[in-house]
Amino acid sequence: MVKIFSAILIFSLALSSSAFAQKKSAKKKARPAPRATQTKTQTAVPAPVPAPETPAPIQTSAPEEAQSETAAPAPTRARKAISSFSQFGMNFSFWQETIGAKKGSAETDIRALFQGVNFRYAYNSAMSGRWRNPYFMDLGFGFVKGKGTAATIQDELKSQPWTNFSLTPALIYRTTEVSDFGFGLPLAYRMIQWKLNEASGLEMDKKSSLSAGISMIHINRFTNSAFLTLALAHQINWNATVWSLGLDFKF
Amino acid sequence: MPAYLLFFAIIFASLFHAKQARAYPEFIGYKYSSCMTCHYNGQGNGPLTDYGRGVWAAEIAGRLGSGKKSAEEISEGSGFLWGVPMPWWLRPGIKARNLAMQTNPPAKETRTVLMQLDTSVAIHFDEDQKYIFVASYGYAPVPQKIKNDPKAEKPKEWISREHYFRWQTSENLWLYFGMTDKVYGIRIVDHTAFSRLKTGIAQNDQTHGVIAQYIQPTWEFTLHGFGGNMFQETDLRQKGVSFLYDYEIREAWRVGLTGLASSNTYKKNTRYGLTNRYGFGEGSALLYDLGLIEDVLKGQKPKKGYYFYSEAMQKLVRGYHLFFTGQAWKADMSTSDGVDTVSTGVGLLMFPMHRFEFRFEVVNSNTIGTSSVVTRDTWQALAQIHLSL
Repeated sequence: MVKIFSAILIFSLALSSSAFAQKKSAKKKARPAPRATQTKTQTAVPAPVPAPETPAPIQTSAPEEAQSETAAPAPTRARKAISSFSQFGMNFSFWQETIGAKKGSAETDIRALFQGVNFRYAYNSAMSGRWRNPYFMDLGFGFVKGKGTAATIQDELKSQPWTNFSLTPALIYRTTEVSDFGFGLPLAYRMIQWKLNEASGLEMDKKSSLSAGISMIHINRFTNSAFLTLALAHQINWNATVWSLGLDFKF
Repeated sequence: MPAYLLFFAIIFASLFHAKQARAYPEFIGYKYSSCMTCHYNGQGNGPLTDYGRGVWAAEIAGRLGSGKKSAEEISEGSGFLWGVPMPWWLRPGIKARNLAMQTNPPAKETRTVLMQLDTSVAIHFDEDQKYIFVASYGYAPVPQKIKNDPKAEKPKEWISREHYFRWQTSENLWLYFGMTDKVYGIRIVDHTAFSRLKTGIAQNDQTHGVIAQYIQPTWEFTLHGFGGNMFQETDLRQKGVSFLYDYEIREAWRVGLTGLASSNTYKKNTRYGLTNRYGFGEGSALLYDLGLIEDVLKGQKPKKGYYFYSEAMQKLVRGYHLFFTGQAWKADMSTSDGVDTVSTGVGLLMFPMHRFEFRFEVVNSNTIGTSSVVTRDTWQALAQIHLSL
């Protein structure tokens, strides 16, 4: 466990140094602070609240500034148009699924846990306004494990390798300057290379399978070119809900 | 390394890019870094100050029912009796939270729990609010596992949640004397989160003690010495000390270091962790809380476990937020046959108007161990309504 925490720490520090450098350079470009920022910074050590009940927060800390901004609405900022781009990334995923097992005349369902890594390429086609239409292509590798619980089939499945390819057309909306939200329709083809003890007589289902589903995608953009992508997909044919989290880079 | 640990490693790594907050620590996404800005208790939770009520009404909640009122008008109507002024020295409040939940939905049984029904009062002894007394008294539901057990000794259902005297001794230093939540980690709303439940800082784990909170614009240090909950039997009281150091790397990005050591006649607890609150865009935030837990039961071998909490919240439109959570916990890392409990969730946090909160969440829990046995994952659908006066 100590190794795991050390790995986390090293990974974090490596990423933080590059992110910090990027943010520092971005800061030099110095855009004016938003109204809320200017107001709230002053409340880091909050001023005592004056006697009248429930004063407006903006009045408490910066009355003049707030009043002037209330009177004259800020000019609309020109929104940067989204252009088409490609991205590459890696994500980790896990899910549970039920797989049929057969041994002679006995049959059962084995609950299996899938864990793996996916490498992703996506082309993001720009649409109007804040919308874009990405096509995600994922190539994944991982392992599955499980154990039969029926009296006749109690075989253990350890580190059984799987390979997956999926294509996901999606529709994504840029909710803020640094975040996106959208939906996708993942279509996945998967192969499990069952490595079974022949003497056991066990036969496993889903050596190869195809599944279609629907996914929800949430993106946090750390910089203009690095994103944290979180996706939750329900694969209808596998009857499985797949959680995945990864880092993507625009190029 | 299992994939789910890498999954969380990525989340944890991203905290160093990201921005962070308590009570609703997610509101660092609105650039509220310090809990003191909105709460009488500078660590969050408990009654809101006038400023906090104003922020909720005028900036965070939706405008349902507000018509064409300006932010100032909405804020002025955020008091206990809406726009009716209260005496300067008195600030009462009422809060209620009700939860409905289903396990593995759609299920026949829907369980409902009145989680909170609290009345609170803040009494100001001077107009500068240097001397304040705060008290909350409320309903604490009996845990389900002992509710239907006739032999079990049931705890009181009506308890004091907190009562303390707050003294602002200087521009930067606040002292609290009385019963409060323990100072530790990020004080998120979900008291069943591993970072609260497994560390002993859940909804009924308050203690009597003294807190010193020193606040500078870019950092805060809070030290809590406590002698246990005086309403408990002497031998059950957890006595000890805890701290939280929060440092602002830049606006709306705070990282922290936290620790707690306490003991009673039967058990010794030690916890330490790292926190991160990162706000970005407008109303979006990432939170992380990672720590180690050591529990030593008298006469037994110590158990060393870990907990991890992460949350990504994104404002959709004013008053409406989407959030994802990822959590993990292991009771004992020293044994090879232990299991990690991993929980992931997605939900909506909605404030359609001031005084109303609706929360809907779907949580998927897995236990992952070295054994090949895969325990079927569970799903929970949770709906919560929160009313506040």
